[in-house]
Amino acid sequence: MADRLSEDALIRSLDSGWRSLVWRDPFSSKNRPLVQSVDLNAILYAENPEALAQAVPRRDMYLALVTADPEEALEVLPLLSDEQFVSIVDNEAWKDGHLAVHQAIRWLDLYKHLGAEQLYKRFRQLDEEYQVALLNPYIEMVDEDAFEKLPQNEQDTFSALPCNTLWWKVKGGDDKIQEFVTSLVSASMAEDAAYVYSLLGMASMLPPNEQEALLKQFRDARLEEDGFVSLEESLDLFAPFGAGKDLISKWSSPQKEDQSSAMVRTDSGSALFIDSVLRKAASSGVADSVAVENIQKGFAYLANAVSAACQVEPDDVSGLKSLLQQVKCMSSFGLDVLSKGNDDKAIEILFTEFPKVVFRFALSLFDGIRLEAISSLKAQDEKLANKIELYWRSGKFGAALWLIDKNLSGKIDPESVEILKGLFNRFPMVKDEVMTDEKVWRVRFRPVATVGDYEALVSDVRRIFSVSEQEALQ
Amino acid sequence: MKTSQQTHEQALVEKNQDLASLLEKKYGQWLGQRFFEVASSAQSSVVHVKVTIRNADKSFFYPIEGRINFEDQDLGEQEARDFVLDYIDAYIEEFLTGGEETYLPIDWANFDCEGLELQLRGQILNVKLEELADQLMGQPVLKN
Repeated sequence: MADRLSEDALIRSLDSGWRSLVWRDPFSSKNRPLVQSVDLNAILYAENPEALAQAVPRRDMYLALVTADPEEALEVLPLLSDEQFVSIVDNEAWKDGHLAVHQAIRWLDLYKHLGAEQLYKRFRQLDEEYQVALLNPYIEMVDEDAFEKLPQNEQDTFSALPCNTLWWKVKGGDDKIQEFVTSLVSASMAEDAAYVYSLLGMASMLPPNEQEALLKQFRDARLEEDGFVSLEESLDLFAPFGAGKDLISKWSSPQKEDQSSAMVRTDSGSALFIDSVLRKAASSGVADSVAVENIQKGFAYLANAVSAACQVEPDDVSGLKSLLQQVKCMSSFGLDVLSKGNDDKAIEILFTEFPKVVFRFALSLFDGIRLEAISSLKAQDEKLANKIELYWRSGKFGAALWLIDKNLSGKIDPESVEILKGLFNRFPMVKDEVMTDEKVWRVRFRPVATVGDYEALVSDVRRIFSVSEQEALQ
Repeated sequence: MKTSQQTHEQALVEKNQDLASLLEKKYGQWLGQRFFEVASSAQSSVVHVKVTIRNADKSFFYPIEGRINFEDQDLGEQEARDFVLDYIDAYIEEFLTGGEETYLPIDWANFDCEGLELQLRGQILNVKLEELADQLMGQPVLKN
């Protein structure tokens, strides 16, 4: 077992950007949910429920099923298309890049409860590579000669195929897998005996892990269509963004403006700027509901795209919700700056620029204050400041936070340490409040979602160094 | 003058405090006002570890306990302690990130990990309420 309570494990957790620091999104109740509203009940009582169910995009259906009432979800399962069912297995049956057979069985077992025919049908609808890879580690098959040479007690563990010249068994001694494979073979035998021969033959003969490796490529490609990009691409979303000035020029008035003068405080207070802009776009007739929904979907895809960098698996609905909150708040801040709080310009930007461009632009707005903090820190501890800068610039946010925590705790006040951690976090965050009682002292953050939040963060950071400079003078 | 036993115990207490602090940093997002306490001991060949997630007034009090016979499992005492802590940490991650819906058996139950056997138990308590109930039960219901 890996050492889960080591420094490395903590750095990894800090690197996620959303797990370790305490934060809340003040707009979360007003944010659109991750799940597009799929009314499973309406599907079940429709005239043609199968057609209606299969018209739902696969990712939306998957999210609707995993967040729905289990009984309702169970009734919808037989209505799914092949693509929708494969999407469930793609999302649920993988862990750390490997096929998690027990997870796949959990879903297939639901079909077993609906009937043997359903189990056979669903299993056979999976990609051929899935079918073989799920059974590959567990099937042993022998011919008559080999069978005769086995000791009696070993022979008893094998079952004969109808031809009585081939025998098979489930290896490994896992009861759950034994039960599932036996049910599957029995259900399939009743429907198509030739299929069983072919399936067991391939599962026992093909080299271990070959099918899984092949399948992983198909699965990654399908997930990529839903926004789940590779780790490298995901990390790139947090890399330095060089097009900030061009973007400001593109969306500013004819007179030239620099980045700092582009910030206009327009806090509306009650709603996230991006949401109020989209509402206005829909209500004013500038865009129809489909166009607005596509923009919303673009941000859900962006949350999926940052998930690899933030260590969130495609089936972690709660983690993805947190990421959606972070990317929407950050993008809302970027949009606020680019449009100077002008709704009409913001609508134009949203329908012109990709969500990831607005998001990366917003992240780049913190470069200045991060550099300022590094520069001030250099006056006190140059070596430490250089290391933090190196980690930040190379996208190792967890290591930067760990250095701040380890080296500044006890040297500056705890609140300042936390504020600096918020600044160098993967998603920069501003202090929201200090939570305290007789046992706990903790700083809670909120994502930077407005120009006001950004200014509060800048002011907090500058205060840290102005205080420490004064102390140094005294 | 401290004996070597006292020094060892003091070092263990400090290590457990560091672990509690590390757990709080690792799972900050899910804790709210709750915090961790870590305790561990060894008697003959059994290592016992208790990680508690709780709040100040104990209205949420979740002791998660693990134990392992390190001689049976061919482990050293420290190695056994780390193994149980790692396993408890894996459970805590599942508990906190999964909406706090994954529970342990109330009584000791066997678990198997990487060929090693250990036992775990845990139960979420409202100690504050229990203490209030005890106080009420200790008082006469009717005063005549």
